[in-house]
Amino acid sequence: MEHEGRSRSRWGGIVVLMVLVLLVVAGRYLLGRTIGDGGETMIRFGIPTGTVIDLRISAILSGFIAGSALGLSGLAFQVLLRNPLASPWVLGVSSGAGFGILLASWLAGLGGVWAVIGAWALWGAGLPAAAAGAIAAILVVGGVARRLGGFDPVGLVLCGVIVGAVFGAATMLVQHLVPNGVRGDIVAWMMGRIPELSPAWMLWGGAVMVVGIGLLGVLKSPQLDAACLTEDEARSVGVPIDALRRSLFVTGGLLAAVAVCMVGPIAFVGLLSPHAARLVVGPRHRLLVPASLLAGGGVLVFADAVRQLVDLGGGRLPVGVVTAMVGGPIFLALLLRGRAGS
Amino acid sequence: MAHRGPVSTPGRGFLRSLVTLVVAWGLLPGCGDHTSVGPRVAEEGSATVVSLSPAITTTMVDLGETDRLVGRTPWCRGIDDRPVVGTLEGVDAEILVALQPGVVLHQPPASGTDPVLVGLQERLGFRLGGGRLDGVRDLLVLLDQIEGMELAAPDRIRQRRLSLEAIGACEIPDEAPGAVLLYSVDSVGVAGEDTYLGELGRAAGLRNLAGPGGWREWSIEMLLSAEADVVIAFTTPEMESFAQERLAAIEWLKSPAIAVITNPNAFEPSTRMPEVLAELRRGLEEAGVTSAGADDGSIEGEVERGA
Repeated sequence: MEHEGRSRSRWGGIVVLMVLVLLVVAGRYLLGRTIGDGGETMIRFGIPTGTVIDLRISAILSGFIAGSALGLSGLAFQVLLRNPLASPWVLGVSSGAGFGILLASWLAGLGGVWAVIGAWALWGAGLPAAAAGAIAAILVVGGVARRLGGFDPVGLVLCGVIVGAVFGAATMLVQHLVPNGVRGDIVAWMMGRIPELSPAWMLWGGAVMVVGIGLLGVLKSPQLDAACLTEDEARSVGVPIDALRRSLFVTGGLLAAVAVCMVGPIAFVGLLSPHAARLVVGPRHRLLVPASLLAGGGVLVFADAVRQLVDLGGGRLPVGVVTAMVGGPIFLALLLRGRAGS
Repeated sequence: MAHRGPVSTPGRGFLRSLVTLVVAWGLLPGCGDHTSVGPRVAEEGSATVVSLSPAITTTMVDLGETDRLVGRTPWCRGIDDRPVVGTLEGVDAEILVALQPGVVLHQPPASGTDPVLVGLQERLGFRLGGGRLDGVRDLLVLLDQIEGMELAAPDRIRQRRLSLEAIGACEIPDEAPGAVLLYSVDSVGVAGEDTYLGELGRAAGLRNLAGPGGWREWSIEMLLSAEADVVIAFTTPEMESFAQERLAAIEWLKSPAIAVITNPNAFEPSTRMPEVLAELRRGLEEAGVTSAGADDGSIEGEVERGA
């Protein structure tokens, strides 16, 4: 009886999350910026018309898909590490993906055979380059962790932090090597951006991947639940824990690469979303997977909506700044509320 | 408590499904529906301009076309009352739609034009111009574009072109004073002879000791070992005294003449380069440097006429 009631409340939680996401999406759809009669920049709240409709829908879709990818990626790494505060950043995966794209861009500018390699790696909005960077990070982290005695969560986190720092330094090296005028573009890209016009193939590709992986996650939710137990407990219920961890490693890395391709290396969403979802729907992955997907998308669309409102004289804020400045307090509030509730 | 029953092997099946999804991403064709909303065709000679480059904005203002400019970046000078359209983060697409410019001028990065800008061009029908601005040659190309788009008076464009061509054509004798041009003093940032500041140095009759190689960072040791006859620091008025103190504090092996130039136009390659050159020459004179003065007088003459 008590179990049934809890289950109902968990489903209620996901409904609440869906309503919140719908409200955020509606808010972003109605919120934009325009020019006033005196030539000044104004916030416009209302139903858009003409080309603006496309711009807002594209921004919403890009933000939602990339945010969902980050949410699922964060969840994959949190299951992998059995740590609700893990994220693609902690394992150096986002840094690896970001470095991959920057390296490809630099090679593309060198000319000759390097330019051909760079151009190939930048195909599909840089997915090959980002995926290569993410996989490189995963291979290094996984390889070192294995030598330290398997997929030990603490070892993985330590390796991830170091790999992230190394990729960060490599990114700075690329910044150092590019001509002076290009450094600003790199800095801009590192801040994250939500494109208001994205190619349809990218939106469809991202959506198919995120929804597909989300469904796979729901189907495999019993294994994911078991992966959160101790290693011995997981093995005792028949979960091949090493194979599952490999899958989570690759899936998390790929999703982070997709997000980096779409919106740049945005931090915090992958950390905040699964944790927030867990507070709303509980630890069972049957609901936690779709909830993380929704929360990730909702958080990034919300951040995009907030930045429409904030102009400190230099235009809209970069979305990466908003995710950190808005997400941080929300994360703390959720954490405190969760503690108080329990 | 989590699931306790026996569970199936997830590893290979899961990865196989994942590979399918990745392939799906790659195979989906580019099928964007870029429906046009009716491009705005600006009247000949009256096109409004959004400038996404501070250097291009300065050039347009210098050409007397301030009124044409309807949008800017946060770093553009002289048109503070116009809305910000482009930032580091990219283009604010809705603002661009609201402005409906006839022309957008920009400086694309090495990775190419922002796809959002290209998409908006298809939808809004504005003309897209501009290009990389590394020096005089690029500025001349920009002026050709501005003339082709009828964005400024041809006689003004001609004037500026003459001045710039005079700067670009300057050659330096071997005995010219050896100079180091600093674009940053705190960390020693040196402008090579293939930069627009290098071109200005050459036009001022100076031999650039940094050689080619663009914008580089030197150590103070390298600065000392260059044994320059003259060190020129380009900085802002606010940083002038700091730059002077910093350079004065160095124990030079061979004391160079020091000139600090605070013209804000020195920080972007625009048609105001001749103005910077004039200030550079004044600075050299005050520092007691006699340069070759590789100029037939046309550069400053044009500046004065333009003023």
